[in-house]
Amino acid sequence: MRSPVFIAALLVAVLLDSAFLQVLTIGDARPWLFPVVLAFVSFNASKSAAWWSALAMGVLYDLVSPVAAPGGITIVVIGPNTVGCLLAAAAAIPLRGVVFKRNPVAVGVLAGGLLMIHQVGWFAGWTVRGWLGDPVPWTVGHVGGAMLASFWAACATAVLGIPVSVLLDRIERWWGFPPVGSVARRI
Amino acid sequence: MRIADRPFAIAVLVSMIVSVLPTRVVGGVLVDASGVVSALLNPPAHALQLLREWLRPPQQVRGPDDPVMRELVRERDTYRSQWHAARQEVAELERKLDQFGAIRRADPSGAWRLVDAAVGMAVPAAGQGVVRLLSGTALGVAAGDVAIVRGDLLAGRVGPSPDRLSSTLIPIGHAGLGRIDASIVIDEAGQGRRLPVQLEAIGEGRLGCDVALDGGVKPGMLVRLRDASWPKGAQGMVLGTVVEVGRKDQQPLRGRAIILPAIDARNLAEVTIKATGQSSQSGSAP
Repeated sequence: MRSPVFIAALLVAVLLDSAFLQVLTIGDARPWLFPVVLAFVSFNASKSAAWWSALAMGVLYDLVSPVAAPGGITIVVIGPNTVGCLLAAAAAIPLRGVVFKRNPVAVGVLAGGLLMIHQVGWFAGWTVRGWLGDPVPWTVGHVGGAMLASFWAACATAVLGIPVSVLLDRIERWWGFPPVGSVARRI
Repeated sequence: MRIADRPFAIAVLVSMIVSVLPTRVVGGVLVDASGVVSALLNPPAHALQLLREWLRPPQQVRGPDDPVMRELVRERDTYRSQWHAARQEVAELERKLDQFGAIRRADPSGAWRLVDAAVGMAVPAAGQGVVRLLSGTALGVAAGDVAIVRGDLLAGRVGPSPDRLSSTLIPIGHAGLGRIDASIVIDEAGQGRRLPVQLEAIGEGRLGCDVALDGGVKPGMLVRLRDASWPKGAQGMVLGTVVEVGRKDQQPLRGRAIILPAIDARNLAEVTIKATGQSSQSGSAP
């Protein structure tokens, strides 16, 4: 996989996720682009490249997600998104042999599922930080509502994932993925 | 799942360690790193936000600069202030009603009227420790009337020669009240056994009295008025609390009890006076 292409795609995903995709929000159903990119990379890149991509994606999303803390300060925590992306990659990489990756619907639905898995890691990461005394980015007593919102977000991500995976499929040759069945892809 | 890539395993391990380090250790570095990343991403993100707002304007189109919104906010703040003021007034009236009820229950003779007196500034110089009350003979306040707080806590007595609209309060613990006959309640919760004592001011707003060392007087016991020279309606009210019992210096076989008045009149905003004089105003007391 060509790293510059992945970095460019990652930056586009961060920018759209943080500044633009709210335009497609319906109620709590807010689509995210990064699970689609993560699914695409996990299904096509070598295992090593997929793991590194998930780690880089998680760290970058953690760095651009500051949380307001009491006293008017903001804190940045490396962990919640990193754990979430690694968990999602751990779920996606074993599936690449059984998913028809050229089917945009399959990739879209899997992107929604990866977001749900990511959210599990994200909640776990923040729960640990909460035990350490940091403020958690959800209202105490409303965790159920936050998780339900995650479900709707996963649904919206699945819908967004269909056209995006078609687009990513069109530019697949730019990424320099190893051919299907090659030794490089299996590593 | 097997991770064969050693640098990746190390990177994951470092991330996990950083994820559980306290914010005070790594927070500053991470905020700086986040700032650098945000600085790179902010310009295109801002452009995207503008595009987003153009495509889908926020529901709340009226911002704080909108004159109508400013007026609405001003009105909201005004009514909110009035609401809080009304709540405080209701709470204050309820407190007064409770206090008046408690005083009437304690002395149902009715040979007095209750007067609320706001506490003014302290009287300087010679009258140090004396408090000025903003009620006077016009409301029936007479010299020697007692001032009460919270039903049965004695704050002091009205000083000599009250004016028409003001008077002075000599607080409990002030030397101007002279000696006060009282009882230390040995057994407040039980039979109410009392030990008669004579209190005298010993400075710093405190009172002292001689007690028998083996009389059972202990810190925390209430001291109640039992003085025939005070108005009948004030008898039995609380003067203060025993805070210290020790051996008397000159007479080692006797004890000395120190009493802290129940009310520090200098820190009060308002007292209730059981006025025994004739009011020169018609109607009820304020």
